[in-house]
Amino acid sequence: MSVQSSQPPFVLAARLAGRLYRMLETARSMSISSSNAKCISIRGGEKTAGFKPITEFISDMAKDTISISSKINATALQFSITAVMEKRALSALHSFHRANQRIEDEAKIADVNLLMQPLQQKIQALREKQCGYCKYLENLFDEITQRIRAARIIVTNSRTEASRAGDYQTNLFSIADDLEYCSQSIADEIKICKRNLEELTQMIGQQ
Amino acid sequence: MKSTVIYNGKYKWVAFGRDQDKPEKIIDTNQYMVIDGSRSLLMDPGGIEIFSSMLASVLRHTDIDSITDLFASHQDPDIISSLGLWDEALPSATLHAPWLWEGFIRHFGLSNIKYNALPDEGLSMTLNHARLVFVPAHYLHSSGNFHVYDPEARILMSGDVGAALESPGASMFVSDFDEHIPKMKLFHERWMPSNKAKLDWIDRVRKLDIEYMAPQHGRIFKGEAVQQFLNWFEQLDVGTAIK
Repeated sequence: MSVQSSQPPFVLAARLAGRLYRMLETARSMSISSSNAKCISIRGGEKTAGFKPITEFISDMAKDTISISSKINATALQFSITAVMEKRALSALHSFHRANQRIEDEAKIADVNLLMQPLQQKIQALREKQCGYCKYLENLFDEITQRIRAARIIVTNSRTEASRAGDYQTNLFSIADDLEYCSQSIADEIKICKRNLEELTQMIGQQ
Repeated sequence: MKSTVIYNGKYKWVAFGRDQDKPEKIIDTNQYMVIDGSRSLLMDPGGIEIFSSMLASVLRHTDIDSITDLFASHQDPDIISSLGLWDEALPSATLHAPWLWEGFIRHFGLSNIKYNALPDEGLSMTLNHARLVFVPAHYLHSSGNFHVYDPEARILMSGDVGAALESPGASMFVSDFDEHIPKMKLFHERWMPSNKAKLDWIDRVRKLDIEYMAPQHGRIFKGEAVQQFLNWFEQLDVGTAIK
């Protein structure tokens, strides 16, 4: 689902944070599946030995995904807070402008202009902060994309290992299905989040 | 901000509160939302200072397009001073609030959202499955004031009635009613102005089937604690500032 660009940046950023929360839940479930697979691979001994390094990788990957997603979530929230602050500062600036149009005394207009100056600086600083957040988010998304790409290859390998696991085959296939589903849904979420971020970056650039 | 699902049936009730990011010296508030598929009602969405946390928390549970209705129990800033920002985020939404406060609440900024003025005797509305009743609670504490009752979920969102001044990070539920009394006493004695209004409200609320009573500050009352609260509130003398 693409976001409507008519929405203010603070809504887009909060939407992004909301999506990431769902991604975190999926990564947690991935971590549980890989722990289950680890238990089976220990119980299965020789037959399931090939599955052990795979589960270790998935487990580390899930942990990394949780950690990166948490960072993205916190950054998106900070972005939203900054965008709200900018919105409030802009609204104050417009009010000062409107007040100035109604004041006839030049000295009083100058007084109001003095109030506007720091406000303009504040708005500029908040916009720069938002640009910084966008760049940081972009890097974090790249990082998480690389990890998920690797995970999807490993999940495919896990099917080969599962087929050699004798009695444990059914269980391991079901875990491989689960991991595939999780990594696919994380990959889908990332795609949407990246689109949202692009839109946000464009919006900031236009300001 | 912490979110807790308090009812999960054909639709959900979610409580939001204990915002760790809120600026100091701002009273902690509880916000509530009924999520019912394509429609959601956000109750007492809070002050301007907690808007960002609130928006992000709400979007963990539903999409922005599904937040179709807002409710303000009364006109206080901790209830609805965020309105100007919600007005930008939810331009097609409807705000249900007391008729008495329309001209005042509009000062918080309302260009897009529609204002549905609640008459003194109250109203009911249906989202998709959830039927919600706006119960009059005038003078508790505001002169135009409503609570929200859900007969299916057996929840009464009771605004400032049942409110308590809590330390940060307190539990969302009352576990020991007697221990909870000191946190509520001053609030009710001072903020609630009328014994007559209080007794009238208790009389009406006792006729409702309530499992959860969910105030805007402090902890949620569950089961027996609801009746304990009504009994305690009944004997409490309020409006004490003029004595």
